[in-house]
Amino acid sequence: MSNDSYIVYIVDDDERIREALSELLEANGTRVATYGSAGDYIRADRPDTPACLILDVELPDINGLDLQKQIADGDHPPIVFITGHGDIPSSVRAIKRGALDFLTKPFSDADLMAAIHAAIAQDRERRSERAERVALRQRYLELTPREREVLPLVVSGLLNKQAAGELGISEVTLQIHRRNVMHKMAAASLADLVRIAERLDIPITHSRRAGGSAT
Amino acid sequence: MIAALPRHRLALGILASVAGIAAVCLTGAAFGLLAVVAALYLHARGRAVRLLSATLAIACAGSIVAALLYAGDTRDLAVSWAALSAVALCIGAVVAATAPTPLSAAESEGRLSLRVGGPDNREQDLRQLIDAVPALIWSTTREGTPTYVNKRFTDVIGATLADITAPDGTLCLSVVHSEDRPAAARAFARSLATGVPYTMKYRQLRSGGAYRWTETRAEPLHDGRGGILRWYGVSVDIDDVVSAQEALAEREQELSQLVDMVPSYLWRLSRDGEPNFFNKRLIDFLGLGVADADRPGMSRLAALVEAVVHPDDAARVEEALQRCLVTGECFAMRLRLRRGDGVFRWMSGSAEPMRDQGGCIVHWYGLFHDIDDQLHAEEAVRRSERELQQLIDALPVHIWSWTPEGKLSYVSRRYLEHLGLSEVNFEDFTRVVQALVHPEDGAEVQRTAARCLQTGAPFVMRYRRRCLDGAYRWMEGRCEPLRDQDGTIVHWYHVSIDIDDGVRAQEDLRLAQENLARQSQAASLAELSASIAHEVNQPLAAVVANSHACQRWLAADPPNVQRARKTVERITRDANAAADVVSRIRALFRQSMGARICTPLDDVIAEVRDLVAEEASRRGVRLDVQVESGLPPVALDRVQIQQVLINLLRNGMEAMDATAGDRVLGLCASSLGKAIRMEISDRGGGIERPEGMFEPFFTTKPNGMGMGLAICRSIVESHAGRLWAEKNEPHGAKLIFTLPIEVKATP
Repeated sequence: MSNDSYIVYIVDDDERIREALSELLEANGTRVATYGSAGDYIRADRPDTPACLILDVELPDINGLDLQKQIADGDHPPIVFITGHGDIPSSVRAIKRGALDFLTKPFSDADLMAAIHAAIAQDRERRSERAERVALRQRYLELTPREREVLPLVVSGLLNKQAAGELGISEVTLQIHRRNVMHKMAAASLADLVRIAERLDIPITHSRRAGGSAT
Repeated sequence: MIAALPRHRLALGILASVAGIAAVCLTGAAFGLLAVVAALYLHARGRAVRLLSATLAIACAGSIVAALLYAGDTRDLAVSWAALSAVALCIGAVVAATAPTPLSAAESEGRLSLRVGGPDNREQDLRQLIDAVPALIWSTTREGTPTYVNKRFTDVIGATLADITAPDGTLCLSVVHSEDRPAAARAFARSLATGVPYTMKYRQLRSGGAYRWTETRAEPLHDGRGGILRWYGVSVDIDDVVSAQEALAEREQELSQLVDMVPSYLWRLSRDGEPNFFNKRLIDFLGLGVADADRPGMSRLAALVEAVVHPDDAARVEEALQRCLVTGECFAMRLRLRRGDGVFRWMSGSAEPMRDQGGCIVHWYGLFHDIDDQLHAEEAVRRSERELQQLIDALPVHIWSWTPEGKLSYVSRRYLEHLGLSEVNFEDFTRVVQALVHPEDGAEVQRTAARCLQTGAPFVMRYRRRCLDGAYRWMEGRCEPLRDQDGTIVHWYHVSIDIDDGVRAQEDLRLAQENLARQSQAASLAELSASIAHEVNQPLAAVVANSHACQRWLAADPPNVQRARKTVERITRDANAAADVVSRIRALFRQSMGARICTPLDDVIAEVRDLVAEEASRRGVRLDVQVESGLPPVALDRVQIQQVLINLLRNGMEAMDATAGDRVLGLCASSLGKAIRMEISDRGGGIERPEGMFEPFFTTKPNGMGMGLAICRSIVESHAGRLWAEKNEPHGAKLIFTLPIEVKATP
């Protein structure tokens, strides 16, 4: 893991905190970007790298918890909350909404770094997963319409004969489509194809038993 | 012409007599005397006729006797005289029988002939008579031409016969008042035309120029054939009579006007009770007169009573009237009379009898006086008085009044009912107060009331008063004096209102407010602690992060000393900032001093005790408050000192939460000479580090913020006092603070 491969965003209205935290993280060889308010953070251009957001609960414009709620739907890095006086209800709320940690000031560097590392790891995973899904989606988009019709039938487990009957085409034609689908989606096996379909949220619409009589 | 007639007749008679006597002389026959006899008869009157007749009768009888006794010539002579006398008698009888008026005519003829042809002294007498009669005498011809006025006429009126004769020979009425003249002229003309006697009253001129009422009468003198010969008139001065009559009439009119105009209804009853007079007003009022209600078979009085008196009053009225009529007592009663339009109005009726000299009742005079409006007004007054009374009784207030001497003169019924205390002697104010007012308030009420009575200042006071059920309720009494024009107090009016619910609600409200204040105090302290924590933790967090960073820089290979130094500088800076925060907080409490007011400490302690009493009882803690008497007042910020006391007392109570034994919280205030010592002692677990507990953020409580005692110490020290802790025996803690009696200016 390279130190340059991630960035930590710090949002705190207290300049001393921003200063101290960026000093600490820089001493640890971490890239840091600091913002004095939630608005500054939202407006900033952020590099497309794994990241972590260290967010103070008390902010001058909007409350950190409210910011968390606002950006919950978007593509945002995991959040580590820091607060001058932590109270249980707000920490519970923060964690429930997916915050990675809730640190009460003053906190040790170990706690902070652990939280940051966990957050980065989570972000990395999230990012790679998302990248894979984007690739799969791309492949899926390369399928012909007929192939897209064939795919759900195949992953539903229908026999070739049944699927062909379902689509009103010959079994041989179906087999050609199936081969193309396997190839285009880079599936090594039928099980692999099923897993891919699952990740693409392609519904399993038919069952072999309901689809027709067995050969 | 009429006046000339008797003279011609006289002359004719004389001529006939002379001719007859001449015939007797010439012929020797006595029958010539018949002319004389006839003339005599024509002019004889009254007794003269009878004398003549008697003479002739005697002559006739004598002649007959002579003729019977003597024969020869004598007898013949006697027969012829007898015959003559008889014929003369016959003539006389015929003349007397045929014309009675001619008899009077003959008389007046004879009288006139006396004047004309009679001796001078008789005519003189007659003239004197006519002139002396106190009347104006005149005569006219049949056509109305004046022929004679007596001397008095000329004297009194100043007009001669010529003056009253118009140029055309008719009667000139120039002496009659011009206003009466036409009527007089008309009446005279009518009388002339018809022969009706003329009677007229008019104003007639007098020689002095004045007019006087005169009554003139004239009657015609008829000839024997019913024709009018003359008019004889007499004018009598009736001015005095007329004036008297006028005066009388005027008085009568005035009297009747009086009777009618008197604004009362007057009536009169006969002795038997028969109404015989109503004045006009009464008639107008009733719309009927005395006799209008008459009905057959019942007396007029009964009929009237039935017609005009209200049916409810009729029996009463009639009975009273009958009794009065019998006994002669005066009648007086109130009754309703029906007005013409059918409306009954109340009248005050009265009647008294009028008695003659013998004491017998002649009449009853009575009057009705309309008192309807008055009665209605009185009724209205009574009604309004009643309504006022009802209002007073219905008002949810208690009203009473005192005389200036302090005697109760009126107590509203509601008050009495409310108290259920009819046995209280309301004359005696002191006893009233003793009986009704709460013993704690009684003395003050008496004092204030006495002062008000003395000075005339309005009385306003709140006190507790005993009710019917024996419970005391808060009342607000207000009393103000009523003064006369001179400013002298004539009465005191007092109203007291039950304000118990209000007072209790107010009390509840006050408690709620206190509760709220306590809670908000707790809330603000929590907020304060949060903000203090934030203020302190921010720099601390920076210090921690910087120190870690510093460590990293120093641990790097090679060590980044420059960055490390920079972080150390920041550490120093931020640590100082944290220390500043703490001192700022303490300074904050020092600066927030309110005004220092000299306050008796027992007041402050009493309030604090009230404030924590509820909490103490909830926690099962007994408060033992001992305040030395005669503590001097101390200049202090009441709220802050109360805060200190409450804080210390609460700490003590909380410290005893786990105590199984007797939970007693002592509060003792005593004087040290120059200072006052307050000691709060509990029987809790006690203190391990008596001094450490005053440091900020020191706490033994799970939820405590550790600021309470630090703040308390700030407050006490700002009052130039001291706050410290000691161990309590046998266990527990004592927190003691002092407040100097003379506070010097704090630094």
